[in-house]
Amino acid sequence: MNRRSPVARITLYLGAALLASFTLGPFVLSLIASVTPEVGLLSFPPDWFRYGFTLDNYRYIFTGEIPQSFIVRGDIRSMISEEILQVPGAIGTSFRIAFVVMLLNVALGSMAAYAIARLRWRGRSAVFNFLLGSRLIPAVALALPYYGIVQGLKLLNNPLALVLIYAVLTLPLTVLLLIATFLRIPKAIEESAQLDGLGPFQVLRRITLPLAAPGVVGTALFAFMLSYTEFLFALLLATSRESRTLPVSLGVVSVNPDVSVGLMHAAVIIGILPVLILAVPIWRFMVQGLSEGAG
Amino acid sequence: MPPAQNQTVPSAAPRRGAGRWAGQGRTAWLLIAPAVALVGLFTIYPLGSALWTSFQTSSPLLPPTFVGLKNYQEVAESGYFLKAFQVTAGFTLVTVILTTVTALGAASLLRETFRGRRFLRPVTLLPWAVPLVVTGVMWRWIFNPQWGALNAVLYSAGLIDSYIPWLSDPNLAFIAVSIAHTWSQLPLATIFLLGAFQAVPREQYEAASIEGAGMVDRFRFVTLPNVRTVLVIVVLFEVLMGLTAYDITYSMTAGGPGTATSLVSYFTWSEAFKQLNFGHGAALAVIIALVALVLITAILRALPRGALSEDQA
Repeated sequence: MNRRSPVARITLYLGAALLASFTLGPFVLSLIASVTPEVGLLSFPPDWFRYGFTLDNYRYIFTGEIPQSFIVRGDIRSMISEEILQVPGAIGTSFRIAFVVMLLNVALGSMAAYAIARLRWRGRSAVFNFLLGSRLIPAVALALPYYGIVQGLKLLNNPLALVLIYAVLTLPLTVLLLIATFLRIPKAIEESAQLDGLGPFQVLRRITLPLAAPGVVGTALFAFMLSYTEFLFALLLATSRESRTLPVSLGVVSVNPDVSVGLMHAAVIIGILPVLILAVPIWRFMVQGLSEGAG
Repeated sequence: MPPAQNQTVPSAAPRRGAGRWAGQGRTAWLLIAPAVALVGLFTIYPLGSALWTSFQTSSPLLPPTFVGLKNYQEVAESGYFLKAFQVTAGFTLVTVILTTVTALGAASLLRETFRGRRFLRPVTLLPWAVPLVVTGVMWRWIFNPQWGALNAVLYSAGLIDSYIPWLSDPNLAFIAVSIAHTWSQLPLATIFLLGAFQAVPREQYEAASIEGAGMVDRFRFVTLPNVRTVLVIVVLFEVLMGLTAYDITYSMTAGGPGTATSLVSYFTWSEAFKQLNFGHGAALAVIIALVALVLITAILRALPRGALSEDQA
């Protein structure tokens, strides 16, 4: 495929440029908004770069130091400011929740996947279908009952409620991905461990999991990502200021019409940076897994 | 709950003669019990509870009373519901087509070798990592009618003389939200299709080329039949994502202007938790689940026979 016609080459690079700008455009624009003084952003005719760049918005979010421009214009907008100051804390909350969900996924998910991939038992396919089928229920259909359950357990505003619910939402996918991962491990290795007298739990822990480590890490990150970005249930079940996750925190700021564009986008950049970094290892794992699994 | 038709159950591991572990059934249930218990507790009970609530007048303010199908009747007769349903149907149709077509293009592109591919491939995944509510925030700035980035760029480039009211015109707002949704959905659709593309045996392309097939014919007669299963799954997934979309409109348009981007999930949410009418909310939730079930069943019929039941790994 190395000898392409000039037309094919142009189409290819044009397509690549188009894809890159569509994908990256919003990130770049958000970044610009976060470092450009508001006078520049709101100017007409538009001249964003005339007033230079500033890191005031970022400094404010981390230190609470109010940007110069706000003081000059006399509108401190204390409410917004305070709300946006919650963002670093909310990142921490989201991270902790997603981390615990990830551990739960690795523990419960690998056990379940192992039972389905490697053991013979009645009800195997029924259980598998049940797990996958559970993910086809629209979230909004579950939201109302979840509220009742969580309220009944007195877990409103408690991160434990979100941990449990996110585990339920991510486990089916984790099991599916881990089954595919486990099936790629040569059975002979596990069988010789069996001959050495290891039971199923020991084989899983000492042989299968270490051998499947890259796939397990990829799957775990996947679960982490889904939990870190979930919004609907978090909005419903964790509304108090201390318990808000990052998506809820940013959602609350975003519906306030007075919010400063620059501050909002500084918060956006800070909030998504940690997960953007995770996207690359996940990509490696997924492309590898998908093309091997389908082949 | 939707019947997940014969999914990818990998064929049983050690067949006859390899039964070194006696009583595998008990071990298996021990291994799988925690996951099944957790998922079961948070799906079967809630579904039953939603169904039960949908037959009652229910609100945190009043004691519940059984009213039969009254909630469904009231919901179905409400003009807002019909409007939300139309908007959602249109939104799902538009975004499924946009996402699938764009993803087919992106995956075809990323399969080729060219300078910058190593950079572009992981970059394509980035929008997926952004929480959808944040996606709404990012695109709201781009499409802002007064000082949005798109208007500023188009104006500076001399392409428009006055700003376009992207989010204050109902039709434009609908398009804007659809584009933002597509942006967020493109990565996963692309990655799945790319995986399927890469698994197509190279010889089939060579054979087609020898027979004189051009690029279009190769795509139609070699690529498409090979990736049909994955394509159907992508469409299925995107239909579900479209039907249940909520976060982006929450932060981008709040359902407006008017009801132009008021999706059924958003409507259900406000019925239940803003109007505090749990009965209506539950009835709406049941309706959405049923519609999803019907669509899923219909789409799964498009799968090639036995596509999901054979051993894929």
